[in-house]
Amino acid sequence: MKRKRVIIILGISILLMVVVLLISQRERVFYRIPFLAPEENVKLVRLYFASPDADYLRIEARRILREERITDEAKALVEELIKGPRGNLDPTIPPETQLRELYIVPEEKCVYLDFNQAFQTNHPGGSAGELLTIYSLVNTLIDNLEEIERVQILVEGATIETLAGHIDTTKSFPRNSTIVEY
Amino acid sequence: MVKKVLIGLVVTALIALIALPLLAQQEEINPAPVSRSGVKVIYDEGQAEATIKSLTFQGIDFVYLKETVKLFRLDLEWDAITKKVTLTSGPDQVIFFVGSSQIMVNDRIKKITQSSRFSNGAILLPIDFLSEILDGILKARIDWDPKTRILKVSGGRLNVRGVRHSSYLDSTRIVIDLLRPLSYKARKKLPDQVIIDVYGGECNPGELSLEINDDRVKNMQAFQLPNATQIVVRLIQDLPYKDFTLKNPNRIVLDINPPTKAHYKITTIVIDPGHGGKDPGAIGRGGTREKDVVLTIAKELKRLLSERLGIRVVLTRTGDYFVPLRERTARANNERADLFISIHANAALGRARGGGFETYFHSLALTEEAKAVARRENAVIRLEKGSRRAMSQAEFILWDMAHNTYLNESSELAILAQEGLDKKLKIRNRKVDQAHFYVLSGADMPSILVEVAFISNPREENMLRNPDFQKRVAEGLYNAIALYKRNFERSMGLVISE
Repeated sequence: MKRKRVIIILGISILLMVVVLLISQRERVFYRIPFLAPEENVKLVRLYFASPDADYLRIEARRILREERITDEAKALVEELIKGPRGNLDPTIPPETQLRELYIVPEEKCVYLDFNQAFQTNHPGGSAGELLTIYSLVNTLIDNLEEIERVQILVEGATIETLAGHIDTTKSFPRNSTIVEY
Repeated sequence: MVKKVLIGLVVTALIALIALPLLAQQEEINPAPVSRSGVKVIYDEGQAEATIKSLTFQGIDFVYLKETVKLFRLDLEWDAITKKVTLTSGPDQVIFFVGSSQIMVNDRIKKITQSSRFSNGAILLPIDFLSEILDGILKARIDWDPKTRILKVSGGRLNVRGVRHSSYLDSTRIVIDLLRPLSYKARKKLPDQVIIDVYGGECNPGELSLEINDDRVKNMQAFQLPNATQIVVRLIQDLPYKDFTLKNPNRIVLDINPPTKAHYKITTIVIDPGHGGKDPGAIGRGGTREKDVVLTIAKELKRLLSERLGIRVVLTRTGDYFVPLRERTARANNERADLFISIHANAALGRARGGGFETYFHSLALTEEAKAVARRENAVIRLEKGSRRAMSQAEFILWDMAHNTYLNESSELAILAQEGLDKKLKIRNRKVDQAHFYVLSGADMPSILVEVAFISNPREENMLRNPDFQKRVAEGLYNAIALYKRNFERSMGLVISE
């Protein structure tokens, strides 16, 4: 009888130790590698939003559903950017913006983003504002999609000179790391 | 019963023994950083100074990668997926992965006692790490004193860092980039040879030799002498030359067949008040419109420039009407303006909606990254018959220069404008930056775009409405232009009476 109790107590203790060990190990792994390997149907993505003083872009990590087709994945990324940041960063795209269509031209390694008129009309303007908007889209898409190296912005199906009078948007953009604060 | 309690105690002790160190370790892994007052950086026995922010984790001092890169003018490439950081300066390159204590300096792997790390999304470098990086790519010696928190950077070994050239219609400009000011002498040994001796100069001769082959200059070749760098410029024929130095960055300029004085005076300036008419520009929450504010500032700046310096000033618009972007620079080109200055008010989305003033100058269509890719992958140039071959380094530099005529002048004007505003305004000095602006891309002259304050920030919107603030903006820009004009005309050898 006594022996049985001892065995039970020992068993429970060992179980407890294993649990404690596992928990602490998991915490350690979590600290060492900032981003855990995502589950099979979920993808961890990096979204670029504005720093609070509109100086730089910073990364917010977010899990989104994994899509089979790259165009769907690109669309999901743009939708997440339109939704805006969840943390303490600032949005870069007017909330009324809608993505009308999205095309990928594999030979150009370029993704074409076609927005509605609100993207331009509701944009606050300013050089800083335009740069943050453009490169939050460009850097987010290029960083998360291996096949993409350039991003072209369209409004209502056509290229535009500028968003609100500053940065040249007639051509596609490559990634820009100087605007990012790490 | 006693046995049971004993067993219980032993088991608890066992659990504690295993769990406690783990918990303790956890705290070590993610300790709270201690903010420090910063690290003072002193170059070359006090010739220049700067302060950068620092953080302390577990007694180790860290500095921000972003600040370091800016301070030492390194090129940064960042791969967010692999966490790979590539830093380049001229021909030298350092690669490391955030979190690893290994560092690759020009393909040689080194192990360092501390590793770089993330904090709050920023990359931090231990001071030890910084020393390795600077030693590797700037060839500079670093002394770190943890007590005084002073980082001494002494003499990058390669202080003659590069050469560039631009070909104009009648003249050729050769620019020698220096890490710090050095004395030099230019002379002609043969009628068709200009020799420049840079005293105390140390260089990588291969990097400084260039085939130019325009209408005046054949090539230039560098030699490393025991205590000087010698650069030989071979001309097609006997031509006059003029040499002088410029700052920010430090450089020696050699003009072959310099143009007559008339080309070297600033007489006409085009000022471009942003937006207008159907395009109101950015609008503040209080209803202030960018197009109105910038027009008032532009008119005031015009008054100051014409009254005090007698400069001819043309505004791209004088009232509230729409002018297409292309027509603005076309106007400046037609007026043969010496400078183009576009005045804007800034805006951004978000809660704070930004704040401060900043000055931009035009960058190439190709960004730094694209250039790096082109260099790495040996960009391909198309030959006339449709065949292709790789673009050599020299050809790439030529291409770059040809598309970059007014880059130096524009950057100088931008720096002066930012300093001019800094002296007059009490809002935040953001930065001088480069971007591909539609309105600046057609300008055939040095050009800048100034964002004087954030109209989307309610506090600054009120300032923008205030006539006193508008005047101070105009005065800050006036001072910058006056200084630029003086420096420029002096550098061209014109004697200016004051």
